[in-house]
Amino acid sequence: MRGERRHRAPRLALPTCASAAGLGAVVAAAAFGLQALALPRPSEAQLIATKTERWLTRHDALESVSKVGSRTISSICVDVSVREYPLLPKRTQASILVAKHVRLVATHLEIFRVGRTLRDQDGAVTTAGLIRAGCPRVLEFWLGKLLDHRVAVRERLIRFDRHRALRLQFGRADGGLVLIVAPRTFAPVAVRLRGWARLAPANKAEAARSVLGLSFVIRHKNRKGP
Amino acid sequence: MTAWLLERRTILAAALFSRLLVLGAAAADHWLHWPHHVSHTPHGASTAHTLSILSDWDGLWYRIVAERGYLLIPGRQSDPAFFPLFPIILRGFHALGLSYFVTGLLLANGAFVVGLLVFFELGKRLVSEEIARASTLLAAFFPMSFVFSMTYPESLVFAALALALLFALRRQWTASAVAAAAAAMGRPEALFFALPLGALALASSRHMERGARGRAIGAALAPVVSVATFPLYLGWSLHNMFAWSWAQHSWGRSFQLTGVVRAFTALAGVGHNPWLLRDVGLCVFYLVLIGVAHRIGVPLPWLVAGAAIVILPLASGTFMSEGRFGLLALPAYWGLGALARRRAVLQPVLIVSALLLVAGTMTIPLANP
Repeated sequence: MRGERRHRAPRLALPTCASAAGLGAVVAAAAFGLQALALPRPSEAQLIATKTERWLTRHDALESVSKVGSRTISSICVDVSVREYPLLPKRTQASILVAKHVRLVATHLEIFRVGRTLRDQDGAVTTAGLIRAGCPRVLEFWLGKLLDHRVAVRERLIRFDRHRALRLQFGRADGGLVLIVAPRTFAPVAVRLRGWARLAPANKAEAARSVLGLSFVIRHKNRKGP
Repeated sequence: MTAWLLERRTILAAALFSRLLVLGAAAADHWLHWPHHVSHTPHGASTAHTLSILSDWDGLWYRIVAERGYLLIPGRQSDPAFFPLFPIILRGFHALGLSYFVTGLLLANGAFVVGLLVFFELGKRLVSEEIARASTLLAAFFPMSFVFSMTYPESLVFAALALALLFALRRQWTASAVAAAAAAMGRPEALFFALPLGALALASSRHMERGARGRAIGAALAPVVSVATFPLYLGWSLHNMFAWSWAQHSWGRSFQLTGVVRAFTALAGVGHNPWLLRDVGLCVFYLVLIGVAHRIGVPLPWLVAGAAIVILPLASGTFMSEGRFGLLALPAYWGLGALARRRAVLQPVLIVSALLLVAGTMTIPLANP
């Protein structure tokens, strides 16, 4: 008798389980299928661009070498929190770009030269180019804006400095942002806005040294997200 | 059918009148250009339409998902935070030639009217007809119920949840599974109603044949399975199964054990956002109403599901939008109906609710519901 009972329980449960699992599977397949069929998917190039965006959110300092006209400008840019600076609200997230002859403080909207209280007007185009290309937060902002508006992105595998790299072209082929990214890490290695700029993650010690002594800087902003 | 509707003419009239109030208040906002200088129209959304405030805030994001699909953009607010049912239906109707805006409004308001009729039927099976009627009328005029007229999925989920539970009470398990799965594709909170569905399945299992018993369990599992397909879809589409959670993080919500404590400590900054007080007040109100529902005999699993809908979002570290989340805590309406079931109480409560509903609608541009 006992043996029979032992065998009966699973036999009784099996049709119930099969029926429950069957209904669950149909629901899962229908729900997944509906999403997959009904909603548009982003392109592979857009997904690569989001990975580069993620890389930028996780790095708070970049070194860049930009070509501005006939000049080559090397700079380091660090994302910081600014304690107090003329014309800026307190505790503003900003980027500080340090080059040989210039130190700039930039938010998404404005650029200032350190030591001057006016917004940078003279070299607006040049400095904006330096900032956009060389500062992780600003580049992340521009890239995010393009992705947010679902600007078409084209990707192409190229050779860059004798290494394989991905070329991402945003919007029109004859203008707009072009990013060259490393295919494995998705780190940006070069960017074209007006001219080309080469990029590399900055050495942490050097990045810290570049903002050392600036009284208005609160701290290095560590923005490692999820 | 006509006789059926005639019997429920009070409910139908309340549903339609409450929606007219919301649409009228939204139109008044537009015509009066009130409030001034407030705009929440990212991505170039139009404010030209008379009822455009009803497609504001999250409504814009649902439209973006319907138009362009999902894309997780690290470091900024992005759309995988929004569940897919509503955008899928918007997209379907858009393909038939309707605009996203018109589809959203028709869908939200139509679903709410249907949802109220179903909610009344559901209530009659759980509480007395008097309480069921009062609860349904109060749900129609509930001050936050303007959300059910916005281009949000709440009204669809409300209707789908009520249907799922009603079908389960009638032992129509396959239909219940479909409705529960649809609700969970609209809002993740629908997941909690797996509890009453499971309890109903368990209670009925002794009197059922094996196949029906299996379908009953399947119906209880349906919302869980349906919610689980969303991260799977995001994994397939965006190569990131955690896109929903990451997007929530960018919206200022991250689910942690200390979330409830953070939600309370964040109240210290209520001066910056006084609207948070509305959410705190409604959160407490919903919990009190669920307590009242317990006293009138609403079964425990239903109460737990309702309480979970109100309490668990606090684990994301904020009270924000609690007023909206609690709209899906169905037992709260039965609690409210029990408190105001006598005619002498019900009528003034309905009038005050209707006035607050108009006020709530007119202040949509000021605060994210």
